[in-house]
Amino acid sequence: MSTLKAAFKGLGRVLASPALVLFLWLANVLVAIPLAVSMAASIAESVGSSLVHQNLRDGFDMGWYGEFDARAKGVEKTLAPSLVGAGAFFDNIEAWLNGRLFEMLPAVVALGLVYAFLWALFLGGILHRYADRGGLFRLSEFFSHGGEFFFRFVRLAVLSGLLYYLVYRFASWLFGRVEEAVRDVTVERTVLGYVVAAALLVALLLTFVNMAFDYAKIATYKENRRSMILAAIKGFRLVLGNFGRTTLLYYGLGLFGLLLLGAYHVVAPGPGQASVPSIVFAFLVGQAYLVAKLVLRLTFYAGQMALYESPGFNR
Amino acid sequence: MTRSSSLLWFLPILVPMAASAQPLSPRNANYRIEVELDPEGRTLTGKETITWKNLQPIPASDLRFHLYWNAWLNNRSTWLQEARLRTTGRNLEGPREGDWSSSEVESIRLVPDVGMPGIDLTSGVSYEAPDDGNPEDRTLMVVRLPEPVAPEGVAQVELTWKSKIPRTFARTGYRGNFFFLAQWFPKLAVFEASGWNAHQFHAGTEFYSDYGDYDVSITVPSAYVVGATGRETDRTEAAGKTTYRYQQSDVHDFAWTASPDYLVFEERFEVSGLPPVEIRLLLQPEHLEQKDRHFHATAAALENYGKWYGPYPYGHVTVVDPAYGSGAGGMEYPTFFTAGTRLFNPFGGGSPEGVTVHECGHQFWYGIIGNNEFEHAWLDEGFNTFSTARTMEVTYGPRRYVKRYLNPRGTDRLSGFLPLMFEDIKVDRLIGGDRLDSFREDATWDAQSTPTYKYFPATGGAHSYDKTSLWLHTLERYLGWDVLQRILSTFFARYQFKHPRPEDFFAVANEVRGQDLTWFFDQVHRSSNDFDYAIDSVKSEPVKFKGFAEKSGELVHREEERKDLYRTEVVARRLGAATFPVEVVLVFEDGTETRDFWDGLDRWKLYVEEKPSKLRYAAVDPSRKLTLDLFYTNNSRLVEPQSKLPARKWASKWMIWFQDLLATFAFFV
Repeated sequence: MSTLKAAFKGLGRVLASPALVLFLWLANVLVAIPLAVSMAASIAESVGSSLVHQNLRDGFDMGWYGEFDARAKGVEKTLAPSLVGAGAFFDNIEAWLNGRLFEMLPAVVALGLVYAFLWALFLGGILHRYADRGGLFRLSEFFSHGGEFFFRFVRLAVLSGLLYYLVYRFASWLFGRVEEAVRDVTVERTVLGYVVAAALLVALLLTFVNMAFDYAKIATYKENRRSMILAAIKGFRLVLGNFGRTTLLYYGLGLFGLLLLGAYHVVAPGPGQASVPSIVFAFLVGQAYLVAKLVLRLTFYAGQMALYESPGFNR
Repeated sequence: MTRSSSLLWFLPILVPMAASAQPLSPRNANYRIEVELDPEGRTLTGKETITWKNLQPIPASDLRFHLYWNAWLNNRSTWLQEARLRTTGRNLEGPREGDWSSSEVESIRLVPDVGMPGIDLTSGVSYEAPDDGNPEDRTLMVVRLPEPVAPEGVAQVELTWKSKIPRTFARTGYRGNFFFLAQWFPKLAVFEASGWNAHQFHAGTEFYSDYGDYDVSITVPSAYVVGATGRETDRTEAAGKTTYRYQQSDVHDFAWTASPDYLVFEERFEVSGLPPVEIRLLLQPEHLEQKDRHFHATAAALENYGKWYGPYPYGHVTVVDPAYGSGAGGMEYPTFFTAGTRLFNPFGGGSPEGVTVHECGHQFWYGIIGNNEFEHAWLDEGFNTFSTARTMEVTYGPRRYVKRYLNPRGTDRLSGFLPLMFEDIKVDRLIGGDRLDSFREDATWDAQSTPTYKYFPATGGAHSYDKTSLWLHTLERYLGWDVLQRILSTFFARYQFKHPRPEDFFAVANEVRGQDLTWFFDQVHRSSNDFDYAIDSVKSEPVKFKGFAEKSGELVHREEERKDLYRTEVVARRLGAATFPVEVVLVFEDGTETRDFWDGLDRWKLYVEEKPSKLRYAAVDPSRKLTLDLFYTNNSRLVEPQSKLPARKWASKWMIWFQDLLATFAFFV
């Protein structure tokens, strides 16, 4: 099976189960809502009865923000002007790339880890859906498979976590060497070249580990593996044994994700919604992008599953 | 009286001061310097002749020299010990072997007259640490004289010295083949009526020197482009080296730069009513597309400062765009300054315009007004921050919020390569110019009247830069720009090429205003108190009557609610310790208003109104005259709160970010 065919087949399987997409999106929304409600309460308390409310309706008020930030203690600290439009997503890509995701406020990291565990619970059901692909999406079946593989995928996550940790340690070392190498370089373009090259290498390593563990999960599901160490090794073997197709599929979809982000950057609403309909519309545009990202993430799984199942795949 | 003593008395006649037409300054500290740069060895070798005249009514028994580069001789210097109190910066990392610097005077001789043998003073050299007694600090050198220099007497000394150039500290040093040399030569302190005003070099302070003539010959490899204080008056080449001669009168410092990479551009500033200025720009090749932005910002500073305060008198200025990562950006020297920019800086984001205006502005506040930056840095930094903010506002309008991405892990100095400008998020003068946000955090650390070198190192900038800018902005709104502009221009005219003190400015302000403003300066300058006024509560309800009232000569019980009359109660409060007269406005639903000027002295004030209309909102200082007010959101209060919609709007945007963050966490499973 060609890579393109696997990608389309994967996308087809994802689109064939809109209920699963809806469920996963809802799970994402539901985990986020409590803190969003708390954030709304904090903003409302900060604005109080002040006339500043008008500025925040019309746009963003940096003066108010400075006061809010000066008094913020917990999750409120994460409110920033940059989360307008695509900036929110750039912020997260940056945090992902430099590993500072795990250095955020403990409450945020804790909730992030809870969500990651939840995702581990869903993964068995997701893979089952994209492997079996037939019939109606049923939650009982979804959770039955999720539960079946949950602890295995948690163990797998611990193994992958170890590798991600090593990648971030390597990144620190690498950028330290870059800093050393450019100590006497006086041209920013040159330094930028080094930094971009190093950042690409780090991104490549992170995504390569991710891709290998995607296949480890698929192998675990398809072969009902119990040893996650062997599954992880199998994941790497599958990637290396089918190097061209696996990497082309993964990075092709990744490139599509970047194009999607670029498109969102162009159409994303700014800070200027002053009425309920416009606020709702801006929120929905953001949600639409999140759903598109979710569909893309699921297409990774489904496409890789399709590739794994294809006759020519070296298993 | 010894021979040398008698010669010192008569030196004003025997050794004429270096002269040029129409001195603007006392020219009592004149330097003739020959220096050679060794780029490979990263050293300077120099020889200087200083002719110094004692302008004070007391004799000087010694001479005091600043050897600034000894601040980075080792980690025990006062500068580095103070720098470690800061939470950021390379000082935490610690310099390596090739990063340290030194300034070593090899010989010093008193020269009685031309052709006469000098008196060697080298053995009389010692180091003092008057500020903290640090025996390891060698930034202040004292040279005993055989005889005191009498009032109006002149001393001429010759020094030879050798310096090791630091990897940039305090904006001076090297990176690769880029050299920015500031505070690079042994430099006399200032002799005042009470004696030498000579401080060690501190992490949070800058400099203080007398005005004079500078005649400097700089020898560098011929491939290097040189820029410096003053004008180039001569150039000679020999054996692959070029010697540039730069001269400048009526300045109190001299800095220079050398790099083979600079592109050189020149433009002429010409605006009606102001003298023309030749602008020379030394630009990094990778910033070619930002060339015009540097010229434009420099011209904006020359024009606005020139019109507001007084014309720029030198006729030329050199703008330096320093090399990437050199740490030399954003610093002022007479007729010469460093700007600083990055690749891809979007127009509208405030860079490099802000730093260019600021450092060019220092030509006025620091260059022409030569205050003591060791003790009263706010006089130039604060005045200039205010003027920069005003110039940026009138020239460019509010800047846009810019976030810089690509900040790799594990490094401190490789950061922010990719800027993203948020077109719709404006940063106004108060935040972007006066820097209210950074001041808020540090507002009460020090009283501004504390000598600058005694400020807490990590927060001193807030008091020199931000607080002054904020209180000048407050004065602008309180007195009006026309009055403040007259105060500043009078101060500028009266004290140019002099060393004014804070009292001089306060006296000018009182004089021009025609009213004693001491109460204001007591609050903003002589105190560390913070400002915060607020509307604590608002209540506006129909008037109710309950109880006994007289009716037809009898007291009868009555319960009544009047729909045509509202009782409004507003409590304004002073939450901060500092006081300022503020306006309080009550705005009613029928559009009527009541205004009151509250002296702001008490901790609270109650306003009660009974009117046919309900109150809509109340506000204290509605036109925000008190820009020093740390928290402005609490300055107004609506009867019917309307915070829900904006809160939901911004929480919904935050939620999109947070949902994506959760998805990013899921990447790792």
